[in-house]
Amino acid sequence: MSSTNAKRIYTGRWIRPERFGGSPEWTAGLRRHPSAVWITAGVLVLCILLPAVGFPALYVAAVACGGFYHACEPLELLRLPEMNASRLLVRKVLTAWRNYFLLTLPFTLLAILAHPRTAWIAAAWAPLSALALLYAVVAKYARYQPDSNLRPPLATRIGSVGFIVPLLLPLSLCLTVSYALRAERNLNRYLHDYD
Amino acid sequence: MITIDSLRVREGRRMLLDGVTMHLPKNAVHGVAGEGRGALLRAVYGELRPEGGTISEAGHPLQRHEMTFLKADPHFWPGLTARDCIGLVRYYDRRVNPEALIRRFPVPLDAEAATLDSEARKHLGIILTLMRGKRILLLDEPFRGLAPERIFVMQQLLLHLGSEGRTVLLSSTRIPLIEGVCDDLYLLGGGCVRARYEHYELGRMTQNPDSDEDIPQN
Repeated sequence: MSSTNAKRIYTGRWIRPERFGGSPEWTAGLRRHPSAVWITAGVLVLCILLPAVGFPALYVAAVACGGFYHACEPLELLRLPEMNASRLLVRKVLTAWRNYFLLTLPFTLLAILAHPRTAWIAAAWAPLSALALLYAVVAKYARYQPDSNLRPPLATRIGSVGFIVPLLLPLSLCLTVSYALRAERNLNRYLHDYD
Repeated sequence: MITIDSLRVREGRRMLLDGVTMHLPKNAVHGVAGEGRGALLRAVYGELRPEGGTISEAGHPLQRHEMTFLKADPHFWPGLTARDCIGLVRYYDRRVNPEALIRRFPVPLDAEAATLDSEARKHLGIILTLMRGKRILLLDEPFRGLAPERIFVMQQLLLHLGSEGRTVLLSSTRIPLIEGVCDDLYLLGGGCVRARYEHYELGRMTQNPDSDEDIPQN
């Protein structure tokens, strides 16, 4: 019953929304890029073997996971949790953190065990990764339009780069605050009934 | 009673609805046909922001969390399988059980929902809409794309939904299909309600084989 020009995705039952905190972004993201997931895991293992490279590599993986939040979901999917704008945003951010830190837990432990002397880098990795994911979520909902798959505006893309290029990090932090406020206002248009 | 009062909806420069007024009693199946039916359902669901007018129930604004919406041509987020879509609904409401609906409207559960053919997408849309047990159901062309045997199943389901206390607002261009299902039918045209028919008047409409052609299409 599926069309012949169907794009291949990973359809195994290992990936389920229940396992990713009911997140359609992570479920769809992992299904659409199964080979990228395996390649990333391999590269992370290699990086972890080198001292002081493991945690920066994990941080880059967090920025890459922000890519799951590029496309806007249909309105039915947005309304599924039946939450108001602020609660939904908090939930989305917590789910993104949960999924990322759970998936990277084995690599984190491996990095600490392999190079205990550089374990202190984790103190910078954890908050920066959390910030990168927070930025991805609020940037998406600041420009949310049901079902749209528009390219993010230039400012949003520069903000994303700021999490890799330290010079632009202050701009990214300012944009995070601005987008968080705008995201709540924007989502209120669709979720005001759940107040 | 759901009251739609002087609803005005504009999309760009085009006025889709211009002063639509309807009174929809609860626990009934209401049909809408004619030009602007899809816009009406989208406005009730909150996808289109009305330029003017109100949609209320017992004097209070209609609550969107009490309704679900089936699109005429459902489409799904790329990357999710049909099982994922159903799993997401179940994740947020553990009480729902889609088994009976899946038997009536079969879908390949492990295929990507976005790339299913139109009939399977319609089946999945129906499952996701009806499994949630919402009080108000907005169904845009629920028979479009269904095989004849599924149309009969859908008609039976609609009758059952109306009798079990749900309020159904459905749009259709094929009046013979909703005869015997709808309690009343609103005919839209020129942005407003052109006529309203009771269920016993629908038979007379369908006796004339050309009656469908009188209904303005979107």
